[in-house]
Amino acid sequence: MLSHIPQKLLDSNPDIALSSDIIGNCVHCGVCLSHCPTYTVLHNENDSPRGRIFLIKDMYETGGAPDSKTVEHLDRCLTCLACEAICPSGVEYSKLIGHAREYVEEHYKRSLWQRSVRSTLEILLPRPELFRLSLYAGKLGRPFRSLFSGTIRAMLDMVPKNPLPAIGKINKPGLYASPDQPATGQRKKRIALLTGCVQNTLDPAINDATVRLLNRHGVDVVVARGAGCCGAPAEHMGDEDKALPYVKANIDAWLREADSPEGLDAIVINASGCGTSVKAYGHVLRNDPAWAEKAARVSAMAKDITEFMTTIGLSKPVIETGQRVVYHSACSMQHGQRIVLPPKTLLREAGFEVLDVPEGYLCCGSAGTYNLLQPEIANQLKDRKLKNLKSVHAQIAASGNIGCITQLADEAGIPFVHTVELLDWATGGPIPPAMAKMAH
Amino acid sequence: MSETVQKAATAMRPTKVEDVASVVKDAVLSGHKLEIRGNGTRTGYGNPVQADTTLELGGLDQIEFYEPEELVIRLGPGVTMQSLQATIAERGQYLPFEPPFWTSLYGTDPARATIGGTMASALSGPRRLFTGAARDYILGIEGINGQGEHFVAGGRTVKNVTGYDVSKLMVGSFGTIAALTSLTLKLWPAPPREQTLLFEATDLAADLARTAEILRAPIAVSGATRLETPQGWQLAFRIEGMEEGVAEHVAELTRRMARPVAATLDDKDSAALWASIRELDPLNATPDDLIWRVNLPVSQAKSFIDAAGQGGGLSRYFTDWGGAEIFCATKPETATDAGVTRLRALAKASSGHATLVRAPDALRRSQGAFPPASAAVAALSARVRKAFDPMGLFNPGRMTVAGQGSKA
Amino acid sequence: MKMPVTDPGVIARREQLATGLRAIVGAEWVISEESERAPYQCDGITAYMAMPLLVVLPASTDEIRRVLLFCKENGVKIVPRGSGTSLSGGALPVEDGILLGTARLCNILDVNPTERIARVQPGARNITVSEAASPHGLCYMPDPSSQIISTIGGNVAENAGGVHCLKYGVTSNHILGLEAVLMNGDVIHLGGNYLGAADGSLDLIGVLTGSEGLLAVITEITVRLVPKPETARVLSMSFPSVDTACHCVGAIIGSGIIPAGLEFMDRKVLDAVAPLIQETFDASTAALLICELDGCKSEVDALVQSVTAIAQKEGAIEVRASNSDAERERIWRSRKLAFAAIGKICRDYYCTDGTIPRNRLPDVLAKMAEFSKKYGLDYANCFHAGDGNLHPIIMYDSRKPGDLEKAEEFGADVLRTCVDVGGVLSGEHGIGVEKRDLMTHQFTTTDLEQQQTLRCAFDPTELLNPGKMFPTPCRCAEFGRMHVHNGQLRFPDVPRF
Repeated sequence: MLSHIPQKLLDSNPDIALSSDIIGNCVHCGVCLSHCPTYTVLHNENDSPRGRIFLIKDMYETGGAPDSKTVEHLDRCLTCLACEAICPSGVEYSKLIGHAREYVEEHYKRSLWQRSVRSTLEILLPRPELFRLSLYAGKLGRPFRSLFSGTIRAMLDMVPKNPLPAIGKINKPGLYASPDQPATGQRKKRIALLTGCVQNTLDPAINDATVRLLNRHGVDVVVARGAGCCGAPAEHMGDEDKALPYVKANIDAWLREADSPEGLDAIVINASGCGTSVKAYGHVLRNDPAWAEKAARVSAMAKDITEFMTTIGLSKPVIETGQRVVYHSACSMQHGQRIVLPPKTLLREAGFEVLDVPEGYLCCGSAGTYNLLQPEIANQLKDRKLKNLKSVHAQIAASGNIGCITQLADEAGIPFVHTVELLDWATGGPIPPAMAKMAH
Repeated sequence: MSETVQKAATAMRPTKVEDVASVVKDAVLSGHKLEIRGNGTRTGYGNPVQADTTLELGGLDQIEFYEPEELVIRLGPGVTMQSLQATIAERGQYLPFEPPFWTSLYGTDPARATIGGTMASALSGPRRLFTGAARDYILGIEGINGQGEHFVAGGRTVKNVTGYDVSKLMVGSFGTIAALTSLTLKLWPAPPREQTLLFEATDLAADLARTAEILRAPIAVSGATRLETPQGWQLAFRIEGMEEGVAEHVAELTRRMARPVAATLDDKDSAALWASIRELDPLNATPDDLIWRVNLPVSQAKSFIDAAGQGGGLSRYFTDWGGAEIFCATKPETATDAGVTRLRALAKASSGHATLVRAPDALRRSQGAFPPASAAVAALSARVRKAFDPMGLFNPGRMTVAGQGSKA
Repeated sequence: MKMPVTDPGVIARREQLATGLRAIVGAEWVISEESERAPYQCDGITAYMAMPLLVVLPASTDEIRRVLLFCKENGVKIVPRGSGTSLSGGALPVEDGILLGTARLCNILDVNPTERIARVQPGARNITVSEAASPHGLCYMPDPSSQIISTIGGNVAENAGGVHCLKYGVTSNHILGLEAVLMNGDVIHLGGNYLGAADGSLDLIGVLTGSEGLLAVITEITVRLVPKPETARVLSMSFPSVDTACHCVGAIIGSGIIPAGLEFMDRKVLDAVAPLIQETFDASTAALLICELDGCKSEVDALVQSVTAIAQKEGAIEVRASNSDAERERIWRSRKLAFAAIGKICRDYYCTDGTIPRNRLPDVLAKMAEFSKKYGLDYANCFHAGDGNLHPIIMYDSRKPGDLEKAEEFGADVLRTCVDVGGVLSGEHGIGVEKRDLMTHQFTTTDLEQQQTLRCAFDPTELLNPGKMFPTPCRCAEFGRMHVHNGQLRFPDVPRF
């Protein structure tokens, strides 16, 4: 599509120049609408990728502050990237929306209310201790949730109904070594694990299972000192500047490990939302000469746990499995990282019967901080996902992203676990807590 | 007017397109109504027409071109069905929609039945279930409209979205839109092999349910009829195609039917059976029976048959298209306005509609051969006819009975 | 692009009209902010844009009926729109008219395996019909390349084709029933949920299918479902010249074999696709045919043998047949990626849609090479060879002044050539605004007037999708005066609309 963005803007802002090229690749065929969650539930072209590309084009062409409608439609995007995955012309929508959101934050003055909600989330989510505290506070507020609407209500809804789980084993930096005799008999490997800020608070069992699984397969796990939040929560809200300190801290921490005598075989991530973010470090810092190369190196080393397990091979299951597992692929997994087969193949190798969710390309509505910022749409998507999920009559639901699990677990009607918990269980670990609980 | 027009008492039989136009122009000037037909072998289908002049298009009987490798033929409406079918059969091709002649029903000469009449009457046979109807094989037309103007619509290619599909509008319009002067048809390679399997029938509802299962399986069934034969009620399934395919489909059909095969008919015998079904022979109708064609959802076929048997004067019937089409004969005493109204009401109660295939002229004139349309559709149809024939010269009353549309 | 004269009075009343329409469809379903109307300015052709007066998204037949009556009363034009994927500008807005979107009418109302039908709303996406029918072993056959997003309503309006229509027919062959709303507010029901439901009255379903939104707004569609073919195999056949490939197309069909699909790709397309599919094509290959054969297993195997033999006799360099679904997918991938691949080797492309008799393929392709020289624009060919439906891809650069106009002229020359060899202007994309002014090359004035009077029978207000399909306005009100001979009204009794 031809755009007429003023030359001055193109010359002064490399991100907008890149956006202009990307807009040029869009032929307006409309294929992206088919997989767009917001278009599916809202039916408005403005809430589709093709419509947003048009809005972004107009925003740059007009210059200055965008109008509130434009911002509203850009805000509604879940960045699930289903559109990018299906686009026949290879339009890099993620970059377009990312740059556009930065532009919005720079030029558009949000209401005081919106600003305070957004900054609260930016402060809370990346800090496990604070997030944990706020959830305790939230538990006190939960009974009064009907008094609230919108974001506050969504935040209260996110607070687990059940007691918060105890702090997990993998809660501080250090080495979590594998036994001397790995089950697979392979050379020992060494990886850095991103423990995930939200995940370690909401469901520490995932990291415990991950480490057990890796250790059992002869993999030493390092939680690098100085590494923390991947930076996604800030970036989701268009605040790249606030995200960069996290990004740089991680790069430093991991490269310190990678360049140590023991070295690193990979940076393993078991929350696909974080994985997408780390894999994008190279792009985010591409124009920063001091960081570009280092960031690219980290991105190249980043692997989802299922990618990594596929490369080292899963050992034979030691218990009888065979349960019908419906696998929900997170957007960050299937669209962001384009990882489609590995999780399902591993689950099958572990002896499970694996089922797909109808309309599996649609986001569940969780999408990072989305369910907090756009609760109405998130709830529609959640209901649709739950209906589809239930339609295949599985015994267990699995996913590779804490956000989706939190969004769906309470109402799925079946235990909702992380893929690694099932893989760990099948190869010798304990039964996943969610299943044990459901069994009682 | 040209010399080539042979004047009968009130019949015109032009052999050139210009002469068709002249006849129409004369009618425009004189206000004379025209009965447009091919050779008039199927005037018993549809309503009788009261016109001042008969315009027979049987004289336009030339094939303009036939390109077998392109699967296309362009010809005048007067080309007889027999000569058309013989011509294309020589090149291994056929008209897949299996048009019936129905000349035995009307006591006319099958050799004179034309392609123009067949298309104008939208005659499609048992294979429609599988291959589509007459309308699905028209690619283009030329004709003279009600102002004596020659016009073209469609073309000669299968894919064509160039202007409204007026060609399809012509099919089944019984000459009420235009005087056709040329037709372009899509042809299809004739299957080299056919086989029909007959199974003993059981209960009607169970048979139709089983048939529905067969028809949604990947089996190339090109005929699915339930009829009464000298051996009793039977289900007939036709399979056509390449030698290899037919054998596999037959095996699959037999497996899924899970009933013993009562008889297998090969090629010629199979063709003979379906020709008789196409011509409604299984009805064994007496000359005074009314003959009906009822179209309805398969799931309603049983309730209609039961109701027509109890209160509709049904004497004999068979089902085609897996049950979505029922041909039936009703007793001579049903040939009254009340009898027709009753059967139509029964068809409507079964979510379908009933067409009088054969009935006395007076009855078709008063009740109409075709079921009345809703007021909105009748009004729209009248406007569409008027768009082509503003003075209402062509086949007045052939498809509709005055005032009927607004009543329904 | 010349469009009907804009009525500034209507534009001036935008807010007032929006209020009236909001009362019908609900406040949030009338889009009036300029920034929000902007994304609706074009459909699948971005070269033509116009800002719609308002975008209205109704949720029921009755709302559509009331919207139409409201527009009629207020003299407001209406452009119907599905997913906005038209490649002929069929859903191009007009500035003094509303865009009537069917996006909210996207449900599959019923799938009935016994009757083998599905009843769907116009905004349902094509592929969702087959998905809903799939558990019953059935599918909806017409499969335009846009099927993942194009709507059934849009498919009916454009009589969409697709790869499989060579054997299974186009949209028109699969419609059993329609509900539609006329400009006078009448809701008409045509046909129904069984074979032959429409028999005994004029084939108005046939007229509405492919009518490009000029006659009525279609509000419900009943389609025929058919059993999914048991198996399919694909042949990839490379040829040393375009001519040999074209002859092979004729030879296959002439032998009495109707493939499920038969596609042509020229060398330029192959070169563009090669890096995307990580495959190389033999240097001597000038054109590739992809031929899909379906049916039961033994039948398909026999057909593969026959077609292979024909291709070899016609001079194929190499013939490869798929032996698994994965291989079949891989062969199809090159075809499916063709247009995106071309998009990567040029800034912009313009694709048009003429259809010709198969045996004229070599002549028309030779002509294209001449036009390419004449306009100095490169082109590539990737099309439905089996039904002679050409999709020449003309490459240009929209940033270069005059390039688009040259590309359009190139396309127009190709389409005129199609008509001259006995073909038509459009096989499956429709006329829209894109080919509108070429209609006079295919039809005489009388032919077009006849079509226009037909339009007047449906929409005497001429408010529905104006400026599309016909190069001149209909002037419904004047039809009675059209045939003035010797200075005197010849048919004074002709009723006027």
